[in-house]
Amino acid sequence: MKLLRKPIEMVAWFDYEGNTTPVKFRITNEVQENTVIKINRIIKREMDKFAGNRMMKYTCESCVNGEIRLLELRYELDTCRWFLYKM
Amino acid sequence: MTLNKNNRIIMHIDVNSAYLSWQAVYELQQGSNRDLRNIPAVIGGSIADRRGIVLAKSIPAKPYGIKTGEVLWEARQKCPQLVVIPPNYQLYMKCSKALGELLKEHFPSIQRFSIDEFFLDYTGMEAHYGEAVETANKIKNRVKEELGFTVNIGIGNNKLTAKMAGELKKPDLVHTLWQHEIKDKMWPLSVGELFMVGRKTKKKLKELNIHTIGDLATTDIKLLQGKLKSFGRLIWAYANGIEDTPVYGENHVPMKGMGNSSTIKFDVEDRTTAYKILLSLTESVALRLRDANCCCSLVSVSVRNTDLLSYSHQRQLFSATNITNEIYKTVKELFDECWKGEKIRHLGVRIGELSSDQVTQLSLFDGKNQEKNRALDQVIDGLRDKYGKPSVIRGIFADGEIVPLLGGVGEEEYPMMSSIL
Repeated sequence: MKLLRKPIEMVAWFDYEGNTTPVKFRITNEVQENTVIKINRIIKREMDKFAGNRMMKYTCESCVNGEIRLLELRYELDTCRWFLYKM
Repeated sequence: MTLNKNNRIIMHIDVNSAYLSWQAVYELQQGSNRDLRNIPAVIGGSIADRRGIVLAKSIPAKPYGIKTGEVLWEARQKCPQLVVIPPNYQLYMKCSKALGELLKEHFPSIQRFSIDEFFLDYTGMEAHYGEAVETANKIKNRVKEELGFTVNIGIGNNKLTAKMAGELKKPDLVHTLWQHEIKDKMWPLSVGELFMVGRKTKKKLKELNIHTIGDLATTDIKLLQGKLKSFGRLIWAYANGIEDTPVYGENHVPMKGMGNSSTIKFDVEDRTTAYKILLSLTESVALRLRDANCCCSLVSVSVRNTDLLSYSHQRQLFSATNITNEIYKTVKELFDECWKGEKIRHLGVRIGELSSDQVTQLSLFDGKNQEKNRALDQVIDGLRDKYGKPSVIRGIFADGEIVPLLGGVGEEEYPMMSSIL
């Protein structure tokens, strides 16, 4: 996986217990083209509290351009923003 | 088991180069590939605003001779590839809170001593949680794992020895300084290392031929008292590891006074501008004073000129007040009395001798329109509270040259350094 840290637009599912599950996201490339990537499987989820800044980390599996890829998504709780952190 | 003062167990938790390591950890979390802790780096104010001093430094910056409190350009001269990062107080608050939360999970009584220092009482907890050193190591490692930064933990029989233990060797270590270890671990240190002994006291002690903490501890207390009054007794007790204040809970704030000061972007040469800045500072101080539901009966003004020479002037008020205009009037008088007409770099307003605002003694010589002024302050405070501080400002600041409420670091709850254990 390569470090990207790109802001993304996310469709996520919030359940009764307050768990957040990413469903699919949209990423824009340099020429303003959108790609929608669906999350097939969440392998690991953990809370990162480094420097007191809470971030949910998701290690997921997705199908990107016809191949299964591992990626890491991050959700920053204070700012409510999603990032494609690594792919 | 009876708990006497000598078998308390107190821990002191101190973040290693706090500002810098917090910034480093934050950058790493945000995906940066450099770790500020491993390169010569400092946190420093902005040079353009003339607040360019080193606030914190990384350990690799130490060999270059960079000191905390040094001017930035000097530090750059010593190390040209130095990385300078502006301070981010919001981040520091976040880190400090996260550390507090983590400690609260383990311990019932915690005192936040400053933004990066905590005291906690471990007395009587050994039976359940194991030896103090063991627990301290566990906590230290948990902080490192979860929050990403390193801390030093000092353990002793009181707050002073715990704090001194924490300073012994850094970073990421646990030290003890029990009563019987004081002679070996603390006494050989230079007297300047002792809590409360600063540059000035160190010089005075040097004149008395006191160089190490051990020298101080074995000096005749009468000599110190004669030279330094009650402060002499205090540092003598500290040098012997004597100190018995409890670990205060969250709500304990031994506030004796408050003040705001600011280094000004330009040199102030005329009285009108100086008044403006003093007014701006007074507004900040008076707002905080009323917020704490207090009145003050002592006002003090401090001036630092362009030669970095500081002096101050203070006066007892006839009756306690918390009205902005009344405090400002005294501030102006004090400034007129002490200013020698030279260029000013830094101004400060301080108030002391606080008392509750619930009961105040009226006097025949109270200023006119007190009730009106009080009501006015109340309305302005209300507006500022509801719509933000810049919502109501005095017309004199409308040109935007001077900030209407000067002072502070922009972070309301920021706990400042304290000399009271």
